[in-house]
Amino acid sequence: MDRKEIRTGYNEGSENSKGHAVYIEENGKRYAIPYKTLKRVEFFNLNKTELIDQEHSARLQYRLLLLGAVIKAYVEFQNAKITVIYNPLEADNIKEKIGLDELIKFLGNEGVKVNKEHMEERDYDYYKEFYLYTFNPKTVRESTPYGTTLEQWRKEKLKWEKKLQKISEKKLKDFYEYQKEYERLHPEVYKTS
Amino acid sequence: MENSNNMQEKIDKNLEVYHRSIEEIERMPVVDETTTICPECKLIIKGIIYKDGDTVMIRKYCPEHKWAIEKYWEDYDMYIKARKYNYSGRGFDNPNVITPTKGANCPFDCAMCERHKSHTALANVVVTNRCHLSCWYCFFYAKEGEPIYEPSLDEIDKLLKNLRSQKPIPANAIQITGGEPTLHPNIVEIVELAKKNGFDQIQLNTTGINIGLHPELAVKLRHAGTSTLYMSFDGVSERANPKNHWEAPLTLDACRKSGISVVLVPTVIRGVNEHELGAMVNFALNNIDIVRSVNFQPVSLVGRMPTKEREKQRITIPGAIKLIEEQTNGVISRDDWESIPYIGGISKFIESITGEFKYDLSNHFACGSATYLFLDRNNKVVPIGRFVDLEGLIEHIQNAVKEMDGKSKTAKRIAAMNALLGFKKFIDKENQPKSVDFTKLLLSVLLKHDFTSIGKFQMKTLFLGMMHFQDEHTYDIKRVEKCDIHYAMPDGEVLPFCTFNVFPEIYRDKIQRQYSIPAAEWKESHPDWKYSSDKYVRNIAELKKNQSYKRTYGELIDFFAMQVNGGKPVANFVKE
Ligand code: SF4
Ligand code: SF4
Repeated sequence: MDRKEIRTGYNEGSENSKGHAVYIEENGKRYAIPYKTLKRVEFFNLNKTELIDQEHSARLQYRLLLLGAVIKAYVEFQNAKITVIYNPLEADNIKEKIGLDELIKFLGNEGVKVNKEHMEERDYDYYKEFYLYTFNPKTVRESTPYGTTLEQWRKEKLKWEKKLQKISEKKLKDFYEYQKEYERLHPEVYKTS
Repeated sequence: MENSNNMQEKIDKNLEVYHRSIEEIERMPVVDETTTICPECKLIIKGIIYKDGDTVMIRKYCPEHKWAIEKYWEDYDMYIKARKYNYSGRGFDNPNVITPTKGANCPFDCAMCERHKSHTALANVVVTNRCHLSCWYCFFYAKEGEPIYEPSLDEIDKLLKNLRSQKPIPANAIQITGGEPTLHPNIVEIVELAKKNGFDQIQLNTTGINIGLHPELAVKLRHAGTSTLYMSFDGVSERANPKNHWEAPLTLDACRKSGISVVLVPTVIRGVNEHELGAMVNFALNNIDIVRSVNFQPVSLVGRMPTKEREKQRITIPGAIKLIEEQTNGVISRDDWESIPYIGGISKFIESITGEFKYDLSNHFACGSATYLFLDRNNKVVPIGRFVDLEGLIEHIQNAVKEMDGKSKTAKRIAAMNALLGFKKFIDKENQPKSVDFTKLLLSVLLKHDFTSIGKFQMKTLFLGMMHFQDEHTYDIKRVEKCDIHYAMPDGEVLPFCTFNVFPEIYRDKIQRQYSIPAAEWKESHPDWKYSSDKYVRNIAELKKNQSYKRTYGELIDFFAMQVNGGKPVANFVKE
């Protein structure tokens, strides 16, 4: 798939777009997304004893995610850090929202005192920083087929990719032929119900 | 947990394992250790898998909510046998999210994170949350006034492309699901899009009702590329299958006519339909011209449910397998089943020979089991294990895989040839069905390098599968991190089935709600739509008059009537 041609543009306030905050456009196609600008806050230098351990940190992450206005949350026990991406009060959408103070209070109730001096907050572009990545994830490692070393695989990989391409072209051709034959056997396929 | 000897006398044998003191439990032999969650607060805690008589149980201790125990596998010997085929597969080279925690907070770091250990074997895509039924136990569909989730064709196309660009092994089998997917106005186009995006296997997860009532839809769906109807089917009787008992015969006929094959999908609940498991296999054999498989799903008891109720309903894979053995008069015995990663062993072999990626089935051994039945000329049902030494065969294959590891192409070819020549000794020609040459079949799979070549043998075969989806009580992180049944989410993430459904509050419902539109707004943009008009109202008397109904349920052969089977016709099987 060609992912280079992505052109984007926000299309706000279009017809029936109250539920979706925005529409984005890629290659002339329109996709609804729920958020435009969110907030990303990072609390660092936390007191590790307040996070307790890895297991409690994971549960805190779960609890943060239970909040409707929290889109993503990461509680890093090892680095004593919490990152939250949330839908702020001032956001122009009808989704659930939360303010920073409420978030801090929530963490306080969970036993984690955060200090505004050890905090960084910034705008977070839902589309550019999250959605665009999940649909175009980077390759971060290289697996090999069973029984094949990385060295062997690197020599074969290109050939394999070409073969895959050929197979998919053939599959598509076969599918169209199958459809033609099916239409012959089932002329009712074009009947409207 | 109570412990009283007086009380135990009154306890059903089946529930005994739940009624022990913790001191007693701690003395029981430990089988495995894992990580699990506290069903109450979701704290990640240690899970001890232990043996209580013949049953395998899991116990866990949460500092806040104390002890919890649950049935894990209802047969120790079968657990030990299944465990042999456990291996770690491959996750994604291009995981959809990079978490700063790198999956350490699993199962709350989905998805698909770098830690995950299986590629997508089956991708689910939800195309609507509207449904034409309102089953009391279902949380998937939008109730009146709730937001509607129904992505557009372009949005679905985007999800499909995302699945197809997974590395190193792109998703190749897809299940289009809902709600009821046939309610999506573009369902035929969606199937065709999937086909054009390169998916080989396209399944439609449906009640089958719309297809039964509108057979022309089946023709359109088949033309568009639908391979299989994944049809909910909870029993042969009206009582066990109130969802689609009356329409299923029409659906089967529509599939027959259009050429769509069918997988029957029973959710198995103890005390509800567990007495009809054999009858369902029998039903499938009676419709073997189009039914390819029965995929049993022991119930997953997600959400709040009184403990007693849960204990009564709980059934696990071996529990269901043993009931099938009983209800088929031993024709399909417990020994005929293998855990799913067994098949992964064959994929490894093919991959080692070809040096190319193949589909892997690397889910955890406790997630699923399967067997293959052959229906011979004289109506005799022969499970594969009766004429193939499955354990010997896979050991032989595994040794060959080890031998080929990292070798040159020529050395691999020699090892593969030796392995192939050795296959014969694992096949008992005397007992193999008369209509089958299994050696030929196996060689075809291994030499042509794919399982689809089985279809070309024109044999009457039925695949029996079983998958026990998890819930917070049975939860095992070692299972979920290897999950290979995934959901493509509208935000581009890909979630394992057993996080999507077990934690809907942070995954399924949360993300779908973000991408849904309020019911009022849906109504505004669909002025002709009414909630009630989505709903199906059945006329039982009319449906029962149908010839298809009478034939389907009234003329069943009972393939398991005798120990040495051969079938006998049974009139009105349903009423027996
Ligand atoms: S289940 Fe898989 S994707 Fe989800 S957090 Fe665990 S390893 Fe990651
Ligand atoms: S869906 Fe659940 S039961 Fe099935 S493979 Fe995934 S974790 Fe296992």
